[in-house]
Amino acid sequence: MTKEQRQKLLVGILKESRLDFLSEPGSWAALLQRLDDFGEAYARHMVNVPPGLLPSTASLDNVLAEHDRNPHRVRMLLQAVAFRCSPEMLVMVWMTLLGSQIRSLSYKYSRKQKSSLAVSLQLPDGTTTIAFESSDHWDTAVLRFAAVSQVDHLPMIEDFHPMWIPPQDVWKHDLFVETAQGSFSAADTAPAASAKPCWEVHEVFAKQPPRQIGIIDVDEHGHPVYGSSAAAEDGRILLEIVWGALARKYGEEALNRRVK
Amino acid sequence: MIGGTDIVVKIADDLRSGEALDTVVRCVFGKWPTAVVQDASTGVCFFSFAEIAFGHLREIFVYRDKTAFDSWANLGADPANLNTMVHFIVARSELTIVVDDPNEATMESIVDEARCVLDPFGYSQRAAA
Repeated sequence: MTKEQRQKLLVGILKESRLDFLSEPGSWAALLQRLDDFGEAYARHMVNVPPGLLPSTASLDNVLAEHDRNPHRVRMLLQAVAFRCSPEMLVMVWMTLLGSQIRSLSYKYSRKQKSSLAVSLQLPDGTTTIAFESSDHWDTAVLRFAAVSQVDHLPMIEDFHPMWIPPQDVWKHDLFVETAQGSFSAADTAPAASAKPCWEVHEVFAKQPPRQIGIIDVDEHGHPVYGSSAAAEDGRILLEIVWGALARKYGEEALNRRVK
Repeated sequence: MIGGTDIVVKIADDLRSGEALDTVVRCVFGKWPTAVVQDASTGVCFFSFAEIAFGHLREIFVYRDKTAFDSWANLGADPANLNTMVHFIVARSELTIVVDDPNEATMESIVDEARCVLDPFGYSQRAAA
């Protein structure tokens, strides 16, 4: 992959992850440096890991390749980068996403004095463990992503989930339409590897934040597949109206095409 | 023949299909560390968690281990294979878990954990009540 291809792909992933600001000139170099540092920290940890348990490297190319297979994992990693997690904790997050188990996690905080996080991972062989420690306060952000659950009434943190980041600047979305029911924008939020678009539809208001109406997937025949949120029936009807209006304005072919 | 019970779990709107499957398969691997995952649409099998490309999956079978996988291949839905496979189907905002006996300890544990991690506010159970 050439440098330009790599850059284009990463910018696309940042857009899809709603982390566009990381690709702005003031942030771009720092992002690449942080990903480089992460790759080096990962390689240091892998020196003592039996071969075959996890990928031996975590270069930018490796991360971009993983996006093709598991886009949500890369989105999670980039969110941790955006929250300024240290390379050490990025390695911990990445190894967990790749199938390691969190055996223990402890966090200590004293106001204006101390913030320390310690995590122990068990690798997929069930025996090898790696310990991670950090006193970098920004690493506390990983607790935001922890998938907290219970197994048989016992505590469990299975892995990390990316947060939902609200859309920014909806007026800049890919499509916009005005109807008798209101004004709506639609953004293609399908992962970069997807052949078909996935439209996230928002109702846009003049003086208040936009409201997400739901999602419209496009099936292999180019037909819309509606998925609305909590107010299921109302959302579904609204999505049908928006799809019809968008189709009249842009043409159905445009709705079946990826934006990126 | 053995039957199946469908359990529907509501998943958050922002959680994509692959991500939901990644999470529940991870739950299953906690119980069955040598589980075999099969893509229901292509038949392709994954023999370790690291191999699985969840971004492309919508429907999968997760077998307890290679022995269970072979037995299902040979016998199909036979009583000998009871509770050795879980079937997951994810569609927009919903994960359907198909198990033989939802009251069997491992099946119950898998379903409970999936509910807990994917639907922490219990929307699915409130909707079913």
